[in-house]
Amino acid sequence: MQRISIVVLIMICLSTADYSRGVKAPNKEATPEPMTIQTNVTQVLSKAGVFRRDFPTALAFLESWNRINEPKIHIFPDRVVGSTQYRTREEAQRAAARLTEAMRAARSRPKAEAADLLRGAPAQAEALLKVDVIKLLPDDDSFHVAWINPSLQLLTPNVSLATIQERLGPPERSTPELVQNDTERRPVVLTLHSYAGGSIVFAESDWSPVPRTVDRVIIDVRSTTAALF
Amino acid sequence: MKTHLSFKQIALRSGIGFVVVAAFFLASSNKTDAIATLVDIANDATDPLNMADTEPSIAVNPTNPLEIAVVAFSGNWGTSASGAPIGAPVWRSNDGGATWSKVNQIPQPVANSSGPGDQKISFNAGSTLLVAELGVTFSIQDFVFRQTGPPNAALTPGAAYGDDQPHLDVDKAGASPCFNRLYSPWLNFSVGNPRSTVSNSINNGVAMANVGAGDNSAFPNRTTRIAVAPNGKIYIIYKTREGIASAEPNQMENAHFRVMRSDDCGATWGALGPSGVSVHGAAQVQTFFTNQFGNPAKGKFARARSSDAWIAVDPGDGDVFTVFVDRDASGFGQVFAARSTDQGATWTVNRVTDGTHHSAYPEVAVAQNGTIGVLYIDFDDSGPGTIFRHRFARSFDNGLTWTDQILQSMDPAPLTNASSGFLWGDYEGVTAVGNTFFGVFTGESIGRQNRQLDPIFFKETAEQPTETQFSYAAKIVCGLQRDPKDMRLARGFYATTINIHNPGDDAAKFFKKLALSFPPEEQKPGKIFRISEDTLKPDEALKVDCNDIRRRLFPNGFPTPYIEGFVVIESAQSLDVTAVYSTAALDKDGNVTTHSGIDVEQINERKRKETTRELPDLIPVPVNGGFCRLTPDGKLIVTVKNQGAGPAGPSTTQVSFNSGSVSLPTPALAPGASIDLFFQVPAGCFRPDCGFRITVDAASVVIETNEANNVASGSCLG
Repeated sequence: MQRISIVVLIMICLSTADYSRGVKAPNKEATPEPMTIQTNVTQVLSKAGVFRRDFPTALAFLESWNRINEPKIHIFPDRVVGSTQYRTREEAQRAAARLTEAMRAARSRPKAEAADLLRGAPAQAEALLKVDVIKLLPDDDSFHVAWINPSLQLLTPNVSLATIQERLGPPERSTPELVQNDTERRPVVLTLHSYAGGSIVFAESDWSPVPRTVDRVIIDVRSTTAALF
Repeated sequence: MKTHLSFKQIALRSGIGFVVVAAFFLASSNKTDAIATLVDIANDATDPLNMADTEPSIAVNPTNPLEIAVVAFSGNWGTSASGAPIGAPVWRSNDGGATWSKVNQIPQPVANSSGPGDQKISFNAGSTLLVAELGVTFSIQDFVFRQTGPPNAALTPGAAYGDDQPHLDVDKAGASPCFNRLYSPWLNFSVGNPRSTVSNSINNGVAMANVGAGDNSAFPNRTTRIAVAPNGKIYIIYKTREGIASAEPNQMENAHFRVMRSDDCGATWGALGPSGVSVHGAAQVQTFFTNQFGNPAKGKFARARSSDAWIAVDPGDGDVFTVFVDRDASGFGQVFAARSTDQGATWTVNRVTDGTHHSAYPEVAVAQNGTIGVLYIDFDDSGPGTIFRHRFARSFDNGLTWTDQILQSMDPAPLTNASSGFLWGDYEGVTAVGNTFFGVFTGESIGRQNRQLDPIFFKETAEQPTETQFSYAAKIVCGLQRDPKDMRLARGFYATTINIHNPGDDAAKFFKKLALSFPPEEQKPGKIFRISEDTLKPDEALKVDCNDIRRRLFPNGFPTPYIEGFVVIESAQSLDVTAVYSTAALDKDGNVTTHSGIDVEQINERKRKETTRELPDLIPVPVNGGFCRLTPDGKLIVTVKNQGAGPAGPSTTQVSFNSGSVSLPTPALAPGASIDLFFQVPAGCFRPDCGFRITVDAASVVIETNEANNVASGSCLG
């Protein structure tokens, strides 16, 4: 089995990798403290003011990512991308099939404090949240499982970090993360602004045409699922 | 004619005028370890968001060396929230690098493209700016952006082509069969073993033809760099990756660095065989393939995976020079230079570096006079942190021996925009026009409110320094000697300050270096360190002292509690040099107590021999006692001749008609050589006669024996 290129954290070279499945496990941060998350995840998601029409649907099906053990998902304006890097398209397609199956399973009832966040989400969303396999360029050269659909509206583009801080207060932590790739192109450098004990991360990218704006929101699947359902 | 060339003359004729040269020599001399001129391209006004400015590339307009362009990762293209286009920047200077503006002129090439992701910049012979850039949509695509309007207007993207790490060069030789052809090497990742590929274009990138070049039959390729010879032959260097040789940090791989040549304007690449020629012979070398160049236990580190080779051609005689990395018996990755005098068929190799530190990221340029310049980076982790040093080495004898200087020492740890793993990028930039090297690297900012990474411009002469007329050797003792039984130096605290005064009527430029006598102990010579190059105006004075030496040369502290040696000053002008020695006693616990002595010494002046150099002399050549010669279609013929004994680099010839001016690039001219240039006569000149004034070397880039014979006037009868 071939080694694969992996995310390189600032000051750390290589994180652990799950070579037994031929995939790379992304950064493994400590799972945030549950009570704190339960309190804060809903507040952060409610108050951020950056999410758009289809975000409640994506959030309603967050459990399906949890069922396939995806550790994190990246919310972009028009797609949701799992963080696991697959070396081959075939491996990623097998994971995509598992995700499709997981989306058909019965959904858990949301906790009361999360009900507003998930209001209006349809019972089925396979047409809207189309499961596919993509490359997450320019981040890396691996294959990722994703929800894509040109009509998806998930995240308002180019929201400034200053706006986020006005709404949520200063982040608990801000850390740079260099995403190394297999080729010689310029690597992506993300600056991660963490809230809710790291469950919700607003990330800016040095590839963004407008500096100091939110490029994506990274959700810790396990802790956020536990906070919502 | 043999003529001595003073420092002042060099400054006066270096293309930007003495005032500007002196200004930025003075501005930079106290802030860096540099001997070359350093200028921080960015400032708080042009870089308010403190971009990292990594992976810079530089181009100098061959017809006007005052015009310089630099690209770095200083901003991205795209669209704003309102849909307004945002251009990625080009840093531009019109005064030889003294001042810079940021021009956002690289547009998003296609919808939804992110970038730039890799880049290289060049001018063609007609002063057209060209930039190769990598963009990302759903795949990797490269584009050549070309100037189609005024210099600062938005550039125009060409056809999508290529894949990873596009580079760029243009055939600028008017006599070449491939004149003005553009070449862009890149790495093709879409095949099993990645392959070095070169695209070419006859229309500045409007359309690109992709041609496989490297041999990937057995091993993947990497690190493709290109150079165009004055005879139109094109060379690339690339490496074949032949297996990992050691682990991180500073991971090495086995490799061959191979040169391939195209003799048909890039249509095929087999002129040196299907795999090319290994510049270091049959044996493998070990070169970096690492995400951890540096010492991860002592701070930030860099990636060096395609940062190990470069190629250039001597614009005068067509010799080919490559630089590459090899871990030799020293145990360190070292920079080597290889020279071919037979168009790449055979090579001779010499080491550039000194075998004491890991060294990588070599880039090479060759000046008109054949001087070779190599920009590279090494690191010193002997102290508590990792100090990365941008260095510039020159060879005046085709690579046999090297003169090296530290451009800047940098600890990236406190620089917030320095991302460990990608500190300055995979490569940087150096080029040569005439007898001047121009370069750019991503280093520590100079004079910014926040210490950070910035693009740092440097300029260095390719002229071999004239033998200095005067030298001064001032004894220096710095530090603390606590041992009462040590008979080398009595117990105490020692400080030295050396004061230098310019008593002359002209500015004095001089070198300072430190020759250590301790350490090491006893009968062994110590190391020699270059301190800096400085300029003093008439009656100005400066000093070098123990603190200054420690800060510049020993940022992690002196190697021993005290040092001894000489500060040697070399100058073309006579100077006043005085040393002040002061001491303080120590108490029984070894603490410094009261001042105990001071001594002031006038340092003797030693007069040395001058050397001489052959120089060119450009003139407009009269015909039948005048300068009016017209072609059948009405163009003015101007003959430019080099009547001097030395070669002349490329220059510009200008004709000012009474109805407007026209300039034409003038190629390098060997001693005795001449060339005819054809100037379009502007409309309205004949009224009824057409008067004009010819100026050779109009941009004053060529140092000549006689600067007073560059201008001639003439008239054609109407």
